[in-house]
Amino acid sequence: MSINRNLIQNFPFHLVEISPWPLLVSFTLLNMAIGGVMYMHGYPYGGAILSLGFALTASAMALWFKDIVAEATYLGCHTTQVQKGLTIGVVLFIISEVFAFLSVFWAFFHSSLSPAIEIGGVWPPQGITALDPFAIPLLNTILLLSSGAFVTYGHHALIQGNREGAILGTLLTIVLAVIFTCLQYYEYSEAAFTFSDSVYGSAFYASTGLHGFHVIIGTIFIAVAFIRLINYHLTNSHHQGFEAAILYWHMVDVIWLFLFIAVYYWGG
Amino acid sequence: MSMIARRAALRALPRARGYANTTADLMTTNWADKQAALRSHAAETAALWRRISFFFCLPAIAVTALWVHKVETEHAEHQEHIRAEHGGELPETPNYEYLNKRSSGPYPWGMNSLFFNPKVNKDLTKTDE
Repeated sequence: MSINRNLIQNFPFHLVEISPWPLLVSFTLLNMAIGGVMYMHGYPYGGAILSLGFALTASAMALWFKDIVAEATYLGCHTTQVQKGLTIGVVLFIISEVFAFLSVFWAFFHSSLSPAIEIGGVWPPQGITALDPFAIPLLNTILLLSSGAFVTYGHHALIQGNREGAILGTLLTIVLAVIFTCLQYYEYSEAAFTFSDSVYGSAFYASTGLHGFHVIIGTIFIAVAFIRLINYHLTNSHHQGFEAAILYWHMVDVIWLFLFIAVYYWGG
Repeated sequence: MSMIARRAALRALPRARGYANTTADLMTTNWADKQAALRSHAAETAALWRRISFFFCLPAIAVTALWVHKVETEHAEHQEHIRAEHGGELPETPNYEYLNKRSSGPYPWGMNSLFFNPKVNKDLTKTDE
């Protein structure tokens, strides 16, 4: 068990080893994309290829992230300098997600600020009953804001070295996130209008649907951090994955606030 | 300055030892003290957010949930009232051309939307197109 002298480096950066996962993920994504197109256009086996592509993409991503966890937690590759670089990367990624949401918000405001005469010149269009913003959407707002408070508690408890507090805070964050998703599913099922009900339906479900998708991703992100927390991967001063998950979750929360004000309240 | 003198001046500068911390550096950076301060500050912040989470957010959720329950019950009663007035069913949504658009044909799962609810959505499998 000797350390090979050629592994010693006099620089703080992480030169990653050759890995098959990026190429595999790109192929599984292509698989999922082709399956999606086939399914929506009615080609045979489209649904099967889409499901297969999704399962393979999730597995390939898991294998890639598993390697990152090994490099970070067990191999010590994530020096302070590497952590700084990763933080910049996470922030840039979140900014890119914000731009994605900007596009759906643009679409919403384009159609709603000056409603076309074909839909009655009003927003919501004639014949559409919008959802009451001060019912379930309000509860969802309180749920997301509370989940942000709980995750802040968990994060600072981790920095303090308080294991019970960190676990409790993070667990309750996940619980509230799941309740949010269930309530949104209920709203989607009970709404009087569908995705195909004029540009209102398109704008509403595209924006809230994209947001809901990100809520699910964010919940999984925090859940992974939670599992790592339980398994003693995180220290009080080094928990980049957890911090990235928290930043992502705050982004999701802020976007919901914009959605609530613009799409639910003003647009209702 | 001559080249030799310049080189000597440069060599005389104190150089950092790569990215490792010398004992002298640690004395100036007070790393240990800073870590202790970080932990104690985190203890205060954690306590603050714990109080906010449990004593403000949870009651806020409870109050809002009760309010929403009240609103939803009223809405359900109003729906029942409309149904009763209209002879058992909700009034059909008007056949505007921008509602229930199917210009690309049926969905892969049929004519109705993915979250189709027969109570509140128009069933397109029954309509003649």
